Amino acid sequence: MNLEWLLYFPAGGAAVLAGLRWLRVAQREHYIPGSVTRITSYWIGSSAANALMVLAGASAAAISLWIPWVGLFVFAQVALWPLGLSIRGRTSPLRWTRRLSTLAVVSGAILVLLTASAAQLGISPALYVAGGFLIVDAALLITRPIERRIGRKYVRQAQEKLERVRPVVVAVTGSYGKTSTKEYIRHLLSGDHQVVASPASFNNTPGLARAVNEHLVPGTDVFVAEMGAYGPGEIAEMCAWIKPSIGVITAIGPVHLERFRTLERTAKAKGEILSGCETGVVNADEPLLAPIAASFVERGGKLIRCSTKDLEAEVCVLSVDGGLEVRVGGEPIGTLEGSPGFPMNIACAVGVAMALNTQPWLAAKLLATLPAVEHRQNVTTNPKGVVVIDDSYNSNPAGAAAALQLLVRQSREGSRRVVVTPGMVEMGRLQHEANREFAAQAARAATDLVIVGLTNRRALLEGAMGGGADVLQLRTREHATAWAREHLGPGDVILYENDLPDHYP
Amino acid sequence: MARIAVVFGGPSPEHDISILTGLQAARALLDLRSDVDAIYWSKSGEWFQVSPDLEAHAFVEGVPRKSERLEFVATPGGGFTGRRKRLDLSVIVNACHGGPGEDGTLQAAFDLAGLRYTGPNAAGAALTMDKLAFGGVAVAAGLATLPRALLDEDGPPDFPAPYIVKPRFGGSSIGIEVFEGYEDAVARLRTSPPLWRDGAVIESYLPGSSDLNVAVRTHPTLQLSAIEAPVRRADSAPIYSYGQKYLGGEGLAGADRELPAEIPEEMSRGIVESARRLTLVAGVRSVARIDFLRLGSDVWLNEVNSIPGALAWYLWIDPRLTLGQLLTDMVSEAAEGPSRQFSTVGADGTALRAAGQIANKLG
Repeated sequence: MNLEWLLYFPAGGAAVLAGLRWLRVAQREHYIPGSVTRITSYWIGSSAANALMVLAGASAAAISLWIPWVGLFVFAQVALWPLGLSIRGRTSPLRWTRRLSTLAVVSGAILVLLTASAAQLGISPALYVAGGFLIVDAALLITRPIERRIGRKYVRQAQEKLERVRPVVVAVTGSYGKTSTKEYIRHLLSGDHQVVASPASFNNTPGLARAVNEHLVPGTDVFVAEMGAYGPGEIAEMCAWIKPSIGVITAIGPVHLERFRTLERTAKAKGEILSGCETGVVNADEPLLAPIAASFVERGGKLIRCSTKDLEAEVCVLSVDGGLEVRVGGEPIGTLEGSPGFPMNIACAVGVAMALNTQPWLAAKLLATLPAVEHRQNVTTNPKGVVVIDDSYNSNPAGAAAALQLLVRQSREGSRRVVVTPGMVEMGRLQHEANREFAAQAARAATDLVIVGLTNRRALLEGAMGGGADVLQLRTREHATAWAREHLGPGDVILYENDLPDHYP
Repeated sequence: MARIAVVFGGPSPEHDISILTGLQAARALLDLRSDVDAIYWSKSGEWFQVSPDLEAHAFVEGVPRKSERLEFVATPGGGFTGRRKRLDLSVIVNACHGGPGEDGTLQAAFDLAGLRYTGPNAAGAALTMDKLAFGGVAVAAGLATLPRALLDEDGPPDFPAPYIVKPRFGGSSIGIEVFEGYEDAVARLRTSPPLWRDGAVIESYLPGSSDLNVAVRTHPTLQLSAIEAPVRRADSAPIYSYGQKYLGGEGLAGADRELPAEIPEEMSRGIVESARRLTLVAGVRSVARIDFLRLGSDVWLNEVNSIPGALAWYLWIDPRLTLGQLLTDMVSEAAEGPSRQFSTVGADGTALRAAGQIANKLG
């Protein structure tokens, strides 16, 4: 008697367990098709055990074509793999939203279709159950147009509201510095405008539609919209309905390079923000943005160049002894003590204030009370006297280098300087090199380098070799903070550079 | 069975603080009874029924998940209606701070819908929210206040600099600025500060002055709390700032303070006396916090918060009152009767009967 049909039970069980993992990854990765496969590739390379399991599983799947019962081994592997990626999630649990349910149903339907056709052909389920991450990615691709259509309702609502409230819309983009710049803009405009800014995590079309629908109150003069982009065309799509009149580009860097591929293409995609704007506020220190700025001026746009070195620029924020000097049109309008923020972000915010005719003296007054942006080079001293620099939300090389300088500046003779980091991600082929370079800098600047997790472990270890710092490897951020509590004392400085959610190895 | 609803949020600068007060009130009531609903008024003015045991974090990104949209109907027998049915509410606990929830707008809407609610009625709320009108009423009642004027470009006020300028309407410390002289204040006025657009009031700023606060409640009898002296931090700005008040971690109830304030017996008696008189002339109802300004042995009445942060429950130390006890009394006061009764006395049809054709009146 042929009992092979019994294999469908363990196959289904394994598919559900793995499916829940990949659904959570999809949710955390903003439902971008392809992201599940990308995260899967991190997990394959994360540890010897995970890599070996994949190898064994793949071989077993192949063998199962001839010996179906070998499939049982595959299902066990699928149900358990990857070691370290939990189903429920610790930092970011699975949330059953309407969108996730749709994705789950479509993924399930694909699985059933595969099962039906494979059964016709007499192929063992082991073969496709092992590729569960691909099924979820396929479901992401299939549901994307449906989700767009559902989203359009909210976008229409948001458009109507924008037409009713009629704020000046300031759109902010850049590979990094967006959130800080947006916060500074909100602050610098607050003296003479009713300002509403989009919350940080709301930087795509559905998020901005929600920000408009829920946060844009009647009477708002200025709406500051942060726009993130994972690929070309996305900013243009957002601008088409949100219609900014002032566009801000803070920086170009190797972020989301797996989609953009080159920095030139990144710059071009960010440049989309200026297409319908009257005024552009642009980082003039970035050569990649020069052609974009030039063509904007050619089209009749008003350009406000922001710089940290060029005194000729419309806005210049210079590092001077003990702080920053802010110049508008060559004239100093004020100075800021210490290191209140990244100078280019401040310059871009001042540029927007000037575009909206804020009096320079009022801007200067507000600059003195620039808010600290959470998790972005935030310096505090804990009750034990340890100086903590929280740069958990940074994920770019320029910001990381600046944070290392801050670490050195905050330390005293003889105090320990610790860097805790999982490295940076979403940098495509530059990721290994960028993390290696960062670890090399960190190993020179710090006395201790704590590598968190497995995602960038190899690159970071390579970079740290030959530097002066002691290297420690820990599993999670929680382990690192526990280590710090035990080993650090008054005067020691610890920098938390970037943090990764727990769906990364 | 009729239930109680706590309403909080609203399109106001104090939207977030109101959420904290509202959630605290809902939680305190839930400890005592089970018939408690929570109604969230969003920043954009929409109504949602939310779970009364939510944490503040649920509101960080906007309307919490799993909220049910409500309609508000301002007609007798109206009120809040969900997808299926009207909420049958005996009393609404108004936990809104600033803006339309504390300035009489919401109160007027509740009156039109025939709903009973805690806090001042529309007239009392409007008066205490208008710093200029309130100052006038306080002077008329013979209470000691600092002279106050509308800030305009017609010339300096007849009291000395330096000045403190506040939004005319608004309950929080947001939008308050200190100036060396009148010219500076006018230069700032010309930049059109958002919170000054409905007017700003100017007063003398007294460096070295400090605050003294007292809470008053109107049910079961008129009672005053202990007097509090909020402690400013050493690195502090010239005014007791929003950040100091609210961002210390536990909100207003966790801020630094001297309670009861160590002040001379005579000063304390003066404060109690003016708080009592003010309660009568300013339409205080339920619970309010009355703020005074002190410099040396002088004390001036400053303002009234008709729906104070955390409902000022933390000021009731002698005898000690919990937020739940305070709310229970507020709810029974509100349940006793509407805060406003419309009158049609005189509209008995005589004028209608005597009238000819309308067209002839237009003749």
